[in-house]
Amino acid sequence: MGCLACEQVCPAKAIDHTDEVNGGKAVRTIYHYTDTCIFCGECEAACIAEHKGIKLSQEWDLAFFDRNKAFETIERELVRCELCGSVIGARKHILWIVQKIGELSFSNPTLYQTRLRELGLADDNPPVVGKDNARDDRIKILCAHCRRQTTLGG
Amino acid sequence: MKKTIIPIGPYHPLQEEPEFFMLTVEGETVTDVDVQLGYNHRGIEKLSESKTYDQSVFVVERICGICSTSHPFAFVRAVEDIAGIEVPMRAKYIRTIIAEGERMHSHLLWLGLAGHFLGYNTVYMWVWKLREEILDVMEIISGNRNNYAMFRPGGVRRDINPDDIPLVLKKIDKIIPTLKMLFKAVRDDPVLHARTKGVGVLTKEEAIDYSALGPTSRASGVARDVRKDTVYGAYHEMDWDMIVTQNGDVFDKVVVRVLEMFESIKILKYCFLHLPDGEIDANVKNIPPGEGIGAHEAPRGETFHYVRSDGGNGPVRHKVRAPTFMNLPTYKATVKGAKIADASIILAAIDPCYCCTERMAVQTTRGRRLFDGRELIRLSQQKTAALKRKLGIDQTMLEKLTQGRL
Amino acid sequence: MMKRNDLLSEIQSRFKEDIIELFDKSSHRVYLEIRPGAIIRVAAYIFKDLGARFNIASGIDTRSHIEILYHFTVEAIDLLISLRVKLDRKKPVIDSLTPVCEAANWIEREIFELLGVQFTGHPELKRLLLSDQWPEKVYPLRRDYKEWDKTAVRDRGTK
Repeated sequence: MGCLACEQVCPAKAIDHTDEVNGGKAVRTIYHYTDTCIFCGECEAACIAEHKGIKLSQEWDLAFFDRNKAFETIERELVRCELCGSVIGARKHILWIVQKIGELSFSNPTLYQTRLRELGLADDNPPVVGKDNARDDRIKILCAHCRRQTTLGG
Repeated sequence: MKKTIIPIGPYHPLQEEPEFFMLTVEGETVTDVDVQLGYNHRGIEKLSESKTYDQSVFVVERICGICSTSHPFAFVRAVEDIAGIEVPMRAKYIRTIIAEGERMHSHLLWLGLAGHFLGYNTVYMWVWKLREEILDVMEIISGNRNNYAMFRPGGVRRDINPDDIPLVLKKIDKIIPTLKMLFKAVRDDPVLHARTKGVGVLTKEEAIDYSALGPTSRASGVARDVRKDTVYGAYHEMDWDMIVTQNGDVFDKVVVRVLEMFESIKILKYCFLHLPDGEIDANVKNIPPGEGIGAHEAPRGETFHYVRSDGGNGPVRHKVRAPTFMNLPTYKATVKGAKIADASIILAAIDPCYCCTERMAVQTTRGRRLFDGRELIRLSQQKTAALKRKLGIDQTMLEKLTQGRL
Repeated sequence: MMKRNDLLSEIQSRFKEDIIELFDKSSHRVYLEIRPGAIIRVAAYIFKDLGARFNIASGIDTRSHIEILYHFTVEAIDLLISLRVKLDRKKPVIDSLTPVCEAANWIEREIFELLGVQFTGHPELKRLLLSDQWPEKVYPLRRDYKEWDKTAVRDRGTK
C-alpha cells in the first residue's frame, strides 16, 4: 500500500524506500533486503492491509550469487501537491484512510478530492480565478505546507 | 625472567567463538592466566538507543544463540518494571515454558561438550541426539529451534496451540529414562570421578567475592537462583528444588546441571498441563520516564538488564550483563595450581557462552609456546585413556551405556 | 536478616551525611543517590555487612553529568539496591571498588573504556572490549560520540 508502516517497525532495517518523480508521474519503490531480513514477522503484524500487504511465505530458496541483487521491490503510485509538487503520500494509502474515516474525510480536501477523482467525479487540478496560493486554491490536493499557506493567507 | 609472548591470533578456521586465554605454566602446573576478550563486541548497548522497545527485543535475542531466551526475558521484565505493568497469567506460563525448554537444550549441549573434552566422543554424539527431542518441542511451539521471537513488553507474541500439547508431552517423556541412566553412569563411573573430583575447585568465599552465578556458584555451596529468590513467571506455582552442592569442583558442576534438567522437566510438564486460559498480552501503549531492572535465571546464571526511559519510543540507556561476564574471572581462581591436561575441562565447567577452549595458548616461563587449544583437548583425552589403563578398566560405564545405542 | 524497612532506615542513619536522596520505587527496588566520595564506605557496608551480591555497574552519559549505578541484590529479602553517583563530565574520577569486591574488576574496565571514567586504585585499568586500534579518548557511549572510522563499510539501504 505504500504507507511504510513495515519500514518503521522492522528491527533489522531491512525495508527501505525511494520516491522518484518522472515528469508527471511520481512513484515510490519499496525495497525488501532478503539478506538483512530476520523473518521475524513484525512487518506482517504491523501491515495495515490485513494479510494482503507484506506477509511471510513458505518460500525457502532465497540464495543469491550476487549480494547486491539480494532484494525485492514493489512500486506504488504517489500523490503530489498540486501547488508545489512535493510528495504527500501513496495513493492507495490515502484512499484507505478515506475508507476508514468515512464521512469525516470531508474535512480535508486532499482526502476527499483524491477519492472523488478516483471515482471520476472531479477534475484534475481545477483552474482558479484569483491569485495563486490563496483562498481559491484550498480545494486542491495540497501538501501540509501549502495547505497552511492557502488557509491562513499570504 | 624474560617472557616472550607468542600470539596465536584469535581467528582460526576451526574456531567457533573467538577469544583468547593465555596460561602461564611452570612444568606441568598452571600458575596464571590472562584473558583477552572483545573479539565479538558488537555494540548492542549503543544500538539499543536507536531502536524502539519492540525492535530492541529482536536485537537482544541475538546476543547469544544458546541462551537466546534469557536476554529478551530480562529485557522485557526491565521494561515492565519501569511502568509497573502486570503480565497476564497465560503469558507468564508460556514464558516459563520457553525459558525451561531453553535450559534443557543448553544443559544437554553442555553435557555433550564436556563429554568431548574428557574423551567420550560417543557421549557427545548421543547426548546431542537426545537434544533433538527438545529442539523438536521448541519448533512445534514457536517455529524455530533457536531464536524463538516469543517475547514482547507486556506479554508474549504468539499463543500455544492446545492441539500440540499431547505430542509435546510425549516427546518430553521420551527423554526421561535416558537421562536417568546417564545420571547413574556419571554418578558411578570411576574414571570420571578421577578426572573431575577435586579438580578446579572454587571455594565458597571465592564464589561470593567474584559474584559467581548460576551452576558455578550453586556447585560451591552458594544458594543463588533468581527463580527462587524473586517472584516472576510461573516458578512459584509448583514445587521444584534448587540444586546446591558443596565441593565446588568440576564433578559437582556436572551433577548440578544434570539434576537441574530433571527439575526443568518437572516445571515444563506442570506448565503444559496447567496452562490457564486468558489473554497473552497486556497491550502496553506507553512507557513513562523512569528506570527499570529485569533479571532472569539463564542456564548459566543470572542475566541482568537495566533500562532507562525518558517517555519516548525507545530506551535511552540499555545495559546488558550476561552471566558469563561474572563467571569468567573465576577461571583465574580455579585454574591456578591445576595441571595443563585439566585446563580445558575446568574452563568448560563454568560453561562459558562460547567454545573458547580452542583459543587457549600455553606459555612457559621460559617463553616457549607448547600447546594450543586443540592440543590441550587432546591432552585431556589422553589423560582419560591413561587413567583407564591404570585402573584396569576396558570400558567405562558411560561407554557401555552408549554402546550400540545410536 | 533485617526486614526491608529496618534495613533502609539503618542505611539512612549510618550514612546520613553521604546520602543525597533515597527513591523507594517499589517493594523490590530502591535507588540511593550518594556522594562520590562515599562509594567505598557504603558499598563495603552493603557488600560485606549485609551480605548482598554485587550485580553489575552501569554507566550513563546524561548530557549534564556522567552517572554510575552500582546494583546490589540482597537475596534473602529480594531487594535490589542501586547506588547512584553523579560525576563531573569534564573530569570523571571515582575510587575503584575492586579492592573491596573482586567482581567489580571487569566492569570498571569496561566503564573506563566506553565512558572515560578514571577509577583510582584499580589494579589493572586497561581495555577490556575495544580493540587496540581504537583511538584514545574516543568514548563510544558518550552522547557526543561521532563516527570516526572512514573505512567502515556502510552498504545497507538505498541511501
